[in-house]
Amino acid sequence: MNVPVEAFVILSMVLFTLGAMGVMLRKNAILVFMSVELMLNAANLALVAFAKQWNDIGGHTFVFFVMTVAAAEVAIGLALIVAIFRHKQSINIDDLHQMEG
Amino acid sequence: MGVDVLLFLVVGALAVGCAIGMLISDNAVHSALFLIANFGCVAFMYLMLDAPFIAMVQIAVYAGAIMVLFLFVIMLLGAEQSHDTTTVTFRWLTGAATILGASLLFALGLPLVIGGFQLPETAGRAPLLRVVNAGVSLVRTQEIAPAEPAAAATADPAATAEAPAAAPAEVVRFSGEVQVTLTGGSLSEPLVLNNVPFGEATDFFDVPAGDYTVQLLRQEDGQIMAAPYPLTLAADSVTTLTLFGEYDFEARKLLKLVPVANSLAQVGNDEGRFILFNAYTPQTLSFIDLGPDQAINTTTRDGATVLLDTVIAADIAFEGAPVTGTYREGTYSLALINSDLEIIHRLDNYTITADTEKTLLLMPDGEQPVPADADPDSGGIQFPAGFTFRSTVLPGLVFDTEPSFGSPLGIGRILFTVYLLPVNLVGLLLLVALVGVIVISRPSGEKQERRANIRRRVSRPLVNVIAQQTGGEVTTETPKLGSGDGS
Repeated sequence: MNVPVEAFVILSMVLFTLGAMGVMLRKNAILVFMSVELMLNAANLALVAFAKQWNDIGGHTFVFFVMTVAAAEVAIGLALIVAIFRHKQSINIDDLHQMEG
Repeated sequence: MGVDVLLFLVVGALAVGCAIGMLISDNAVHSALFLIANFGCVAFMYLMLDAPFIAMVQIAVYAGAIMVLFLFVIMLLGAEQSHDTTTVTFRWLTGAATILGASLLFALGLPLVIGGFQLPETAGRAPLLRVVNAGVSLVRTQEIAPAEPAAAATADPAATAEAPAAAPAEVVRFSGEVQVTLTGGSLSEPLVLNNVPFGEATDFFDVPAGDYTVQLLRQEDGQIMAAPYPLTLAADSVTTLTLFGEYDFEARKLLKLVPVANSLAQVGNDEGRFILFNAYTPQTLSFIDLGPDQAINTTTRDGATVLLDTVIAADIAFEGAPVTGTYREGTYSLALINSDLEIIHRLDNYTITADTEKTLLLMPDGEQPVPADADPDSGGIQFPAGFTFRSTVLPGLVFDTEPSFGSPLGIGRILFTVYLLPVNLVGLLLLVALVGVIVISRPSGEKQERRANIRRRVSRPLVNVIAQQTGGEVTTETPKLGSGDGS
């Protein structure tokens, strides 16, 4: 394989930054969530790249765990969004800055 | 530019483009679709990084399950259009977030920039080395030619003067212990192996990778037995340093050293591998399976004799490069034969184990006299007809059937051995998440109560309906137990 592992790390860096900007910029709670998923994916890409570099399959295992935790987090997060929407009729995070019931 | 670099650039640009598209698109459904495309691109990257299992899980779990959940919630809530009225009032936030993002990118990339966009090289496993002493010393036994009796000496002085010359000292091969010293490399002090016995291999030991000089001394008196030998050991290598030949102090014959490298490549699942090295006979040998009849089978074809037995390895030349041969596991009668189809040495009932690598050395037998017509100055080693050789199958490497890197088998094995506890914890986490989702999304309390009331109201007229149809009252009395006994 001619592509250096560093290139994958740089790609993962760029994707992570884009995800972080999404979290900061978007007002839609679902989009914030999607940006978090993008960041998790960027971290996974870095893990797989380093696993390749060090020839250590432990990195793959960690990606596996990150994916599992992400799945659980998405399920809970989306359930929360649905519950909040039912209560406030909005998922704009600027409308949710007060946590009153 | 190779195809893979081109693919990386295209798919990487696509991934970044999809991420930006997700960020700036107004429609949440479009954002979700962009994100699915991005996950697909990342899955491709996983494939390029030799992680096929992770790539498939990425597509199935992320691009499949998680994104379907997202799309489902977006459409359930009707949140396709983001009513970003607030962005107008907080426009400065965009600039601030961009600056923050840029600084994050810089902070993340700083280690790479400092390292010159070069990740540290993988160290690899320390080289393994062992030493095999297959060399013999030639010892001249002086007591074989003692002075003739005095009577004879007086009778024929000329004969006594010639007697020691006519009966030269018998030369005996002596297999003694040697001392091996490794200097150089990153060793702070020389590595000394004492008392390496004849015909045996030391255990494998770790040596830091590097360039070494090997010194070979006779254990008993410290005489130099071989010229200093330069030995380079690379990471991840397994080497059997073989000392062989004949050592004769008077004839200035020195032992030779040859590093026999073990192959670290995986053997087939049902095969064992032999690394053969001829450290003794000037003949070129072949390693064959004698078959069930335990004898050499030949046939004559076009005037030439053709060997019918299976040849495992051929062209095993004296001091030549080590020859590798693989053979199916099982118990066989194996033999080393020369070009005249004579058995030089045989291994009867030898069991070949799968996924192992053994080193087979052909070396001189321990203590044998050198024939009288031996020429000590000839390059080759002399041996009488019918001389029995000794071949030693050194314990070799045993390969675990380790699954290939990144395969489902490999990940599964490590998940259920080293990471068993985290796997269980993650399973517990998923269970908690499942319960959490049910609790969070359950209908609120009052609605539940109302539904219960409705059910109760319906159940009452139902009793009346039954009473009307049967023409009698529906008794809900239960028969009282024990009332008959009381009267």
